[in-house]
Amino acid sequence: MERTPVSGIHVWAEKVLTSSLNGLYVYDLQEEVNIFINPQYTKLTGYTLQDINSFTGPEFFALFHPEDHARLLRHFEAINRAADGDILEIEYRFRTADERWIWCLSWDTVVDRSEDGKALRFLGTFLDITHRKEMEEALKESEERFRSVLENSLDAGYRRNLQTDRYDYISPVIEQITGYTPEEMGSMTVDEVVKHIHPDDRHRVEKEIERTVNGGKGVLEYRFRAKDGSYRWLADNLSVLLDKEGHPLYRVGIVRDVTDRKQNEEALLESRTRLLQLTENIKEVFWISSPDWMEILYVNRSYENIWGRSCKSLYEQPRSWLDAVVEEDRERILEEINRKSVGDLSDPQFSEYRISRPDSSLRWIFARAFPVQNEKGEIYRIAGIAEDITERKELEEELHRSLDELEIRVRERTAELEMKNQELQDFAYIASHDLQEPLRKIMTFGDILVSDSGAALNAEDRDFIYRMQTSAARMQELLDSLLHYSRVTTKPSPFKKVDLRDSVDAALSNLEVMIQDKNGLVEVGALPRLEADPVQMSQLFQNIIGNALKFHPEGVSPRVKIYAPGLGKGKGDKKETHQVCVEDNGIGFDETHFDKIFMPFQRLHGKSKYQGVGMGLAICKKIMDRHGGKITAKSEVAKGSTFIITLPGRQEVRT
Amino acid sequence: MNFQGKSCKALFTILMADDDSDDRFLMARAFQELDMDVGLRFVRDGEELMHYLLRRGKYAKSGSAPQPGLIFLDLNMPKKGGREVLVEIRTDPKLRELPVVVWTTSNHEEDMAFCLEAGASSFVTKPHSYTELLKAIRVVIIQWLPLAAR
Repeated sequence: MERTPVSGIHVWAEKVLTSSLNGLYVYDLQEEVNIFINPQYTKLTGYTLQDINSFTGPEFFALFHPEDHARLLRHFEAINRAADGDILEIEYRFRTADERWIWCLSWDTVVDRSEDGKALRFLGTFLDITHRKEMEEALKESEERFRSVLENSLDAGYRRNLQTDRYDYISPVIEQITGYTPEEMGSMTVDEVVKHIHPDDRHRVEKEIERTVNGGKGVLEYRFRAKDGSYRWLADNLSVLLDKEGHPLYRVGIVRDVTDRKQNEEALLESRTRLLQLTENIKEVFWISSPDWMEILYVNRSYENIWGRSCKSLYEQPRSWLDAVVEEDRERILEEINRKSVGDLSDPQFSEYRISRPDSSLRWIFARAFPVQNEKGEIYRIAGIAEDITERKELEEELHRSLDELEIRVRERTAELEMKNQELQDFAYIASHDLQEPLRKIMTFGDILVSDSGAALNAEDRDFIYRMQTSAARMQELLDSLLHYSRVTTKPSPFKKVDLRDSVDAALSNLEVMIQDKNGLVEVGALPRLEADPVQMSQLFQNIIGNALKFHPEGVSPRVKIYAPGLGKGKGDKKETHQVCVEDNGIGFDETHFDKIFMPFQRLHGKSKYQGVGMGLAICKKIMDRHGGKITAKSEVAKGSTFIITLPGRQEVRT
Repeated sequence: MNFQGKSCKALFTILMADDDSDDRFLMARAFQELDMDVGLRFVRDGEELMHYLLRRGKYAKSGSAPQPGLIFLDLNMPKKGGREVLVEIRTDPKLRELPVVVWTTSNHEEDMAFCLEAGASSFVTKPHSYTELLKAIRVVIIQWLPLAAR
């Protein structure tokens, strides 16, 4: 090795230089060559002094990383300007002989100057800091990644330096969560931070911090008072990092705002609690099972009250509730359950059955089961309610019994009344019949008396006999009409299809003499066919037309019109009801007496003026009653009357 | 009262069955007044009528009960009613041809229908006056009595 003399450097110093662990060099700024390097230099770079000095200036400069050139040039300028004793530091990359880049940290100081103070040579010492640099680089990279993740996240991150007990870093998201900027948060003392934690949560937070302080991970959930005074639920996913010696270095954490989740959880809990309060307090059994009824997921206490068996027994044997169902009902219920579990679960199921309790009392159950679907629409549960309806059943039965009894009583009563009514009818019939017998004798013997002895009697006697005869005749008439009246129901003919025109004709033929006597005129329009008693229909018209002929003013010829309004307008025969009017030009009546005219033996006129017993319209009314029809009348005194009869087209078969 | 006609030896006998004494009296009186050569005999009920016709009991001796040529039959009588008697007469081969005039208070169609169906020769509702009674008897006689008996 060629030695260039170094002025002012002693031999012992040279020994120090050659044995140093740092690389050492002395660079001549005039010659632009290294005039000295120590062995460590060669060890670190792979170059000997000879190697170094074999490079031209530019070649040597090219050993430095191009990115560092500008910095190096500034460094050299600084060295030129440096005062004695100044140590200038620089980091750069250097290409070793085996073509690796190493990071070097150099400290340079001027050791030789010209007369005019210009720097001639400088001494440099350098360290290979490649490893440190790589560490720093990696750290920086990971920190950048960390930050970029944090700053783009909804979660806030922080790093607290446990040695300084301050935050190194808090991501800006913290402001969105707490309302405090990272700076505001960072400037808070420990006490201030604690004051922001909900009092109920402080103890827990402190415990967790304590637990993890010597390394470890934890999740802390606590309420933190935000800047606006509201509490936010925070979840802090934290871990404590230790240095090599095991001293706590950092606490890093990710903080998430979980207020919504917490509120949902609370709401869920609340609704669950409420549901439980409800199901545990209702009288009905409420249960939830798997769709195949093979597992009971829930059943409330009422099961014990109603079934008289423990809930536990049901959980253990999910079909044990069926054991209580009485035998006659069990098969049916089992069938329903199986059918339901096979697939036809779409509809709610209702069933009624009886159960026998351990104390052998019977209860009636009304049960409803309905499928519960998950979000996909699959049936994953069956929920049901079973109600004890024993009392209701008993009441129903009681009611049914009462109704049956009532019906029987009504029927008995009706039969009784019908019998009474029949008796009355029979009585009227028999009475009128049997009363005629003696009456006939009175009249006949009176006759004989008059014809045998009339000449021998004086005028007064003859008048008495005449009055007796008249009264007897009157009574005869009354009995006859009474008989007729009762015969409407006691001796009816069966219903059949009747042309009312025929009925009217029959009536007119019976009234022929009367019509001639009164010089009357009867006009008959088209009349309907309907189901009726033909004899009674003739009777009906005979009575009404007879009245029309009878009750007319003296000197006026009776005019009677019979017609069916609306006939042919509807569906003819198929019409439900038919109306027939009998209109006359007779004396009419005061409509205030309307109720009276249809009652038996009611007369509006004196016997002497108009004959009759007042039974005609009563019979008409009775005939209409039997036919389920109606008879009404409109009238005006001295102007005439119109009788309107309404009859159903068809008759029910009556017993 | 067992009213006999004006002659026991009359050619023609009319037998009347009626439980009502007044009616028997009126009938006897009417026949008297009509001056007919008939023997009018009475029985009080259907049972007695059948005894008479079949010569049983007190009518066993033929002399006491000449065979009637016409019967007046009331419907409502004790022991045996007129309807029953009518049916018995019409089903008895010996009596089948005997004219039977139903003579009753009833004017009911169903009674009328029943009697004509059962074979009554006539149906007459007892008249309400004596004059009418005489008329009715005359009509029956014209219809059912042989000329010689009138």
